[in-house]
Amino acid sequence: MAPAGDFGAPVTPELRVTSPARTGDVTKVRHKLTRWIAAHHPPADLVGDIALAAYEALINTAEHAYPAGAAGDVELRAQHQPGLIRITVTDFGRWDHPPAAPDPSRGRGLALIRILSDDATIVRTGSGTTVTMTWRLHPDGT
Amino acid sequence: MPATDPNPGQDPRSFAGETTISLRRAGSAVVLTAQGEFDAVSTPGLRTSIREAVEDGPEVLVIDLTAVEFFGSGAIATLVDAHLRAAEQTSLRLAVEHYLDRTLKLVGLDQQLATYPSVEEALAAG
Repeated sequence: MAPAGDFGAPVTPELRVTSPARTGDVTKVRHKLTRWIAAHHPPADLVGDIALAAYEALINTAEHAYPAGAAGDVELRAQHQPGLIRITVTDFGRWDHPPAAPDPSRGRGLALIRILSDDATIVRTGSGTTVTMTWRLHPDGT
Repeated sequence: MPATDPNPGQDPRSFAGETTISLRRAGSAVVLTAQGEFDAVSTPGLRTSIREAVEDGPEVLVIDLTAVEFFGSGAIATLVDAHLRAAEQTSLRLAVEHYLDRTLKLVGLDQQLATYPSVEEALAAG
């Protein structure tokens, strides 16, 4: 039985990954994050929620943060603290570059981030955008 | 790439990023089965396959998503696209496992999309 409000001893309390903000590369970041979350043995739905919300933040950066053809990085930081998991996705561009071929099927990414997390904040500055998502871990394992 | 896998006991399929899309006939219905991870890399192939299946105009099209391991917002949007294209011509039914069913409910798409817990139940539905 895990201590109240936690999953037990953190395996690796923090994960930091810096990657090129490109579609194929952020898939690799998603895989690393999924492995990290699974190692913490959270409730099954939470693994999916964190991986999906974080991926939507990553892919937004890959598709919108930098002008087409311009190199830029995205940083993912995942923290497991007592009673919560916090994911931060940071880029150093601006979300004002529409994709070369606008895709009408997009647009649910930010909604998913808000719906799937307990708390989500998006901070845009002149030097980049940071999406912070938090999940609270309940003592009863839900 | 990291030299060590922090969780070597995990089923490697879950992280391979491989996808499989297959089609089969079941009477007057067509079943399109999509397996694996559908993120921004793999979703365009899924969108094309679903569009082609809808354009063939079967009476019933069941999209079997019971073995998907990741389904991003772009993949969810392909289902809405398929629903709009199927219109009156084709009865579009989704077979989804618990997690995807929950996600579709959370984004409010359970009102538009007909979901069933298995292909068999989707085929049997009126």
